[in-house]
Amino acid sequence: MLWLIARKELKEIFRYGVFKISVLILFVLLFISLAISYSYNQYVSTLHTKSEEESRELWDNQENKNQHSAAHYGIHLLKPKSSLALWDNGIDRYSGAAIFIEPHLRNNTMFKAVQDSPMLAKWGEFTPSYIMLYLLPLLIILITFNMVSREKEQGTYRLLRSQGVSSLKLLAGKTLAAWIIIILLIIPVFLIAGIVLGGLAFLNYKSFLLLLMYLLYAGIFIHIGVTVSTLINKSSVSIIILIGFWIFSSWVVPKITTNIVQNIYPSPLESELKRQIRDDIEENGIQRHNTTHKNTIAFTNSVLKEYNVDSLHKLPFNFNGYILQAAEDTNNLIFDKHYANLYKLYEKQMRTHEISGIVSPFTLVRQLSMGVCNTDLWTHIHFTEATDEYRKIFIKTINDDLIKSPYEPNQRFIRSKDFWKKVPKFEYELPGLQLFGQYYNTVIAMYLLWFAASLGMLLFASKKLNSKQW
Amino acid sequence: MIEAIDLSKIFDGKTVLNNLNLKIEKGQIFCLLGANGAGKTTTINLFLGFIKADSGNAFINQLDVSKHPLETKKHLAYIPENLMLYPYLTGLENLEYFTGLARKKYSQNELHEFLLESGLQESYINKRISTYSKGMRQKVGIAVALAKDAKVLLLDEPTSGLDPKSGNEFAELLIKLSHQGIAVLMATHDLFRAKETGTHIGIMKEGYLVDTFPSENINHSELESLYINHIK
Repeated sequence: MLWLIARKELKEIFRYGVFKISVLILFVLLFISLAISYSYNQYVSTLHTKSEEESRELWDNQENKNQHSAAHYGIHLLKPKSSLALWDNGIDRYSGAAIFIEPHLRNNTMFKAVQDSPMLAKWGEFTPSYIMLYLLPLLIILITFNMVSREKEQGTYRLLRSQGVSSLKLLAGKTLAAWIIIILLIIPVFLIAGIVLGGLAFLNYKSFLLLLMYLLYAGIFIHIGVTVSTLINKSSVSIIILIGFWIFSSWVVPKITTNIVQNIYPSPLESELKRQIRDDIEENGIQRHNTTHKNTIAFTNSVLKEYNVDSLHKLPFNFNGYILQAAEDTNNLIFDKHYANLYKLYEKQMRTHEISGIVSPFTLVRQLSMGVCNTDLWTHIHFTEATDEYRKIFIKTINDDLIKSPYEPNQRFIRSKDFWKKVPKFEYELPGLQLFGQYYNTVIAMYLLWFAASLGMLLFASKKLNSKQW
Repeated sequence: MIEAIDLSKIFDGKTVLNNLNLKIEKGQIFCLLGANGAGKTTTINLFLGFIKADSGNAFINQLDVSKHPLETKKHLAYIPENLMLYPYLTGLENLEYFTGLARKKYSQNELHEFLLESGLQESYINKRISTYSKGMRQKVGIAVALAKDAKVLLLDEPTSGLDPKSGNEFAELLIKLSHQGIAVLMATHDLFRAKETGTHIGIMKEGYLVDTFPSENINHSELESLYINHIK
């Protein structure tokens, strides 16, 4: 019986001119968004690969020079692009794509697409996820808003009930029809577009997880659409309620939440953070290049005392390298402290943002989509932390070599190409589902709860319909 | 086949149906006459289970409607005053859908035959309902009753608004169905059609069934006088 009801709904829906035009528009927009994302990603990927290769090549092929001077030439580390970034570029355009590694400093990411990019990148936000998360619910509303109210308005509902059809079966059949349409739309488009643009690498567990999330999101809107259409007798009122919910969930709640979060937990300006770190280092760190600084003098004296010598020449190692590494170790603790505070602040912001998921499934799926696509804040932090770990190893490798070098204050020790190549390369892989599970368990639970609640609403609507006298 | 025992319904404190007792056997066509608000549609709705009785019982094929709401519907077909079908589907598709809901399976040819039997022109069978007249939609309703193999037919002013030719065709169909053993309860304002079609006539006034008699015992003018006297 369910299939019978669903099949009739499908026949009707496929014959609506409005539906055909809407699907056509959606497909055109989807393919435009894919083309834009593809072009943008190609541009960014080429830039990334080229920049990373060139940066390492420059490092490896440096002329002979002092290790520490070489370190100051630095190296650029590029954030790899996930194959799913094509679908959802998340915060990538705002967070930056590369970090410059150098001694004494922990730099922030650079090459932020929103700051300096060609016009093409300005379109970067029009991604397939935008279509899936913003526009697909509109199509679902168009399909479901009058599914039941239309029966009541055109008078077929009494005839239906006279056939002995229970409300539950009727709603289940109609819901099934909406599901079939959405599955027929989403799955082929997702797979074909994904494979065409991302190759077979696109077919991985993450893309299927993303697909599942989009389907659940569509399901929430389907269930709410059928519920409202059942409880409201007039289709004109039903569509206003559903579009109102869509605007509230997809536009109003995210904007309000962002403002509230920024007011409760304001993010420090980048310049302010840098100033705080600089002041902390000035107060508590070691500044190798400022030999008259009180901490530098104190450290030098403590080393002399520890080794019971009266001159730096008499130390069993190169003091220049030793103090450089000591400055790194001390200052890294300061960097780590400030960045840990910053991440704690981000976490508070995100947790507060999660609360908005109680009234808006959009804010939940948006976070999950970015999480699976590795374009979220946590992936970005994972990358910046990995680069900082690498920075520590990179600098230590150079300083350790310097420590073993003869100590000649007026003569700098020189290294050649062979040494540069010995410095380990930066190896980084985007995090898997472990990070996703770690940060999104509450969001996942809330999301599943929304889905279950939407099913519950459907059951409630069927009971109301059953109990109503006609 | 159709039976009401002390059936009553109250809406907002007003008794709209008062202790209705009625029995319609196989092959009978019972026409309920009465002014607007007399309780005709309420009676039909109670047999359909669309509303719940405040007291008494309604039976379809010996089954209590309130206790077996889904089971009783398997045995009945219903045609309202203005039968609305799905405008984007053809007559055949509408028939296929409603018979399917009644758990009856037929081939396309069999469904085609039901529509022809109900008097629908062949050229309209595969056209969308949006192109149908009211009379044509009523014929699809009859085809549903035929295909469903209904034992009971409940009609709520089915000939209202039909042109004389369509009204006659509809009446002939009803007589044909009654000859097949279907019990028919028809609420109507049409005295002429009630006399011509019905085997029995009942007159309702303010929720009471005030009179019942076999239609063969009365001619058209007597029926008209009786009706006017009752509803004064």
